[in-house]
Amino acid sequence: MATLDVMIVDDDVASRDLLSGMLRTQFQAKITSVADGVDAMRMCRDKSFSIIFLDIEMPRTDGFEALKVIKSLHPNQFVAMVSGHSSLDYVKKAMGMGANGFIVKPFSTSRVQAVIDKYTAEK
Amino acid sequence: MQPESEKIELRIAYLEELKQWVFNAFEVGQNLNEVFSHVKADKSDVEIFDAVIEQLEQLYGFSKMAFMLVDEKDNDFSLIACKPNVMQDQIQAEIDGQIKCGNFAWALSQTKACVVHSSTMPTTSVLHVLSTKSRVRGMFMGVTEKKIDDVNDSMMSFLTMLLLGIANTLESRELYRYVNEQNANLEKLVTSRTKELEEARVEAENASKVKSTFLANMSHEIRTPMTSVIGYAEWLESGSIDESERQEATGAILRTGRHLLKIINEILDISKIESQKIDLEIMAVPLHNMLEESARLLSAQALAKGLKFEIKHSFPLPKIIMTDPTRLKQILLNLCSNAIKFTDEGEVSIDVVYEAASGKIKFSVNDSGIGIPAESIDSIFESFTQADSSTTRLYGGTGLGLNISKRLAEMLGGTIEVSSVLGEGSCFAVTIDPGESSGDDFAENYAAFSKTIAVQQESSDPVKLARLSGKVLVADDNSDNQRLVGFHLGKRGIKVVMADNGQQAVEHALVDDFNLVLMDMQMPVVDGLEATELLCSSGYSAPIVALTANASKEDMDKCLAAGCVDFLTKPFDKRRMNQVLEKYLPLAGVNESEQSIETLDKEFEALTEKFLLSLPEKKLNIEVALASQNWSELKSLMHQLKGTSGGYGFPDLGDAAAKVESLLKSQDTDGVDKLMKDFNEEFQKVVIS
Repeated sequence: MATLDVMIVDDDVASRDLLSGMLRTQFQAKITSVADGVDAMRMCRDKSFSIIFLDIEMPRTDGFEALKVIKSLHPNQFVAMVSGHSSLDYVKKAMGMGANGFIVKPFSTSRVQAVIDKYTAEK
Repeated sequence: MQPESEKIELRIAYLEELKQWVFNAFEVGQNLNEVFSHVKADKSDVEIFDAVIEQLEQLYGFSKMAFMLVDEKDNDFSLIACKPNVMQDQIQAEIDGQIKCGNFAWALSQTKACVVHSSTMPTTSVLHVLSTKSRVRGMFMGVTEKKIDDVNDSMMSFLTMLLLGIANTLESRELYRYVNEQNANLEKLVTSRTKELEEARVEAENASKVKSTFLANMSHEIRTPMTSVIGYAEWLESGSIDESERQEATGAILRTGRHLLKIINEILDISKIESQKIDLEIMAVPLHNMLEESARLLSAQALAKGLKFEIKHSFPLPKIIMTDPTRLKQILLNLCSNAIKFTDEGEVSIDVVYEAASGKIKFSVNDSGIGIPAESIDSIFESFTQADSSTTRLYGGTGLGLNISKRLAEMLGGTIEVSSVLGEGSCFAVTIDPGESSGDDFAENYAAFSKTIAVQQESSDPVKLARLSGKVLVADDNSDNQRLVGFHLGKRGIKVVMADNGQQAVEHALVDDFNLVLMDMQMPVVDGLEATELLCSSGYSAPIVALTANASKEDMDKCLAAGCVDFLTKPFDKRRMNQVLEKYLPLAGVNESEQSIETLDKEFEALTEKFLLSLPEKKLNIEVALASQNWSELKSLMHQLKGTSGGYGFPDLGDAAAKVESLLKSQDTDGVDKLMKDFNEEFQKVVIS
């Protein structure tokens, strides 16, 4: 499998580190980390990623806004939303906006695995 | 020059004559009126014209007269009546002459009498059209000995009046006939319509009667078991019963509940068949397996009544047949259950034979039971009919089974025929079309037949169910169903989390780790279908199994399209439920490698910790055994460690223990110290980690 080129968007350093550690060690992914939606959108202006893990609750630009912009730049960009809440409204909203995955913090490797499997299957 | 008096004499004579004629004319008018008033009666044209001719002769003294009518078919004039009859030829010749010289045509265009020279004799002919306002109907010709100039104009005017009357009469007569005919037709039509309506009414009444009877029977069939369900349940609720009574009550509730379910399923089957909504699922079916599966169920039934049950094969038989196995089994089970039901001693058998001539397979279900009276044989395939209504009370049953079986057999390309001798037994022969099969697919003997396919033997006997591990999310808005499923899962050692609706299901599923989700499809807030779709699109990876009361193929397809991997229909069939659980959940304690990662992650942590905590004690036991040179004890301790260490992620420790064990097995204790040193090193590593 080709190397996964992943971007992690999360304002919380600990969450970012945990996910990037997991992706690096278990899935040998190449990681780009940014701390908010504005940076994420900036990154996406120039390139697309295999998968973007996009936190929903962020200051300045939240995950939904970032998702909207990212999808408008790259409609086929695979985006997995990450959230501290499992609220159905969030899930429905995200899926309705074209998100490709939804995982809830704290998550186990298997959830990340499932998202990567889905990405691989849809690619 | 005539003297004045003579002129007056003549004048008087003439007036006298005219007066006489007018009298006659009145009389003729009256007579003809009489004739016309009778035309409605069944008088033929000839009769009417004969009567008219007679009157005209009297009045006008024509020596020859003729009436011609227009033939509607060829628009030609044909002679209808003439006088004298014996002179018909001469009359016809005169007519032809008038036609030839054009007088006839001239007369047609006039509305008055045309007085002309006769063409064939030295007389005068009077031609007068017979017409109404709408059309020309015919022509009158009269021949008189008078000179043309002697023909009186007034008399001719009266002729015009008379003939107009005749023409109008003819027309009204025709209209009258037409109306009569229409009336008759109408009457005939009304009669036949009435008859048709009456037939339809009778048919509808019969159909409605059949439906009412069906409903009455059905509600009776359902009400009766409902009574005992409710009765026993109330009894249970009262609480004042002992254990054996409780068992009796629950047993009765289960029994009648199953019976009710059977009735409902059969009614559904019938309505599906009637609305042609049954989809067959034709597939390759190993005939031997199908028969064996049916036999397993039936032998037990037969045995319970002390009957012998067997399957008799007439070889060669095809090994594989193309059919819908569920439906075929349904037919055979129904016929055999009936056979067993109506047989008190002897045997029930299925004779299987391949009929090469028709290319069909025949399953004859024979019994040595009470038989069917000849007069009832034709009606036993009708809904809710048993040979005798008292049999219902004696033998139970819905009376729908045979009806369904027959229709299913027809759908499978065959039929069911029945023969029976009262008091000796019955034979229900089902034929079905087994599809194309080639020569190699035939078995010539039982050995070849039974060996054809290795199948997994699924036991229908209640066996001790192995415990399963894992956690299951059950989403169902019905708390009774929740408890039922929860109880069943709990019995097998499975952890259960409940969700009351689709929203909770999604939220739980995303947060907690489940090995399996059982999702009811009809739930408030967010239904199961939507919840499943949401989960699957969010990258949810645990299998989702649909729970649904709608067992239609369409519903199943919908569930599968939403992302469900399987489905269970309500009410739950315990065997299917177990199959599903066993398919998606690992067995407890063994096959841990098969456990899904989620479970491993969490349970593993806890178990590892437990393992590590137990290590000091193990170490102590090992030291004791070594010091006391209790080799067998040491060997057994090492054996345990070999088995477990690897599993907890310490393969090196396991290897070291294995080496010690194998050395001790070979009764060689010399190298123990060296190996124990290695073992201790590994042990330290583990403890420090």
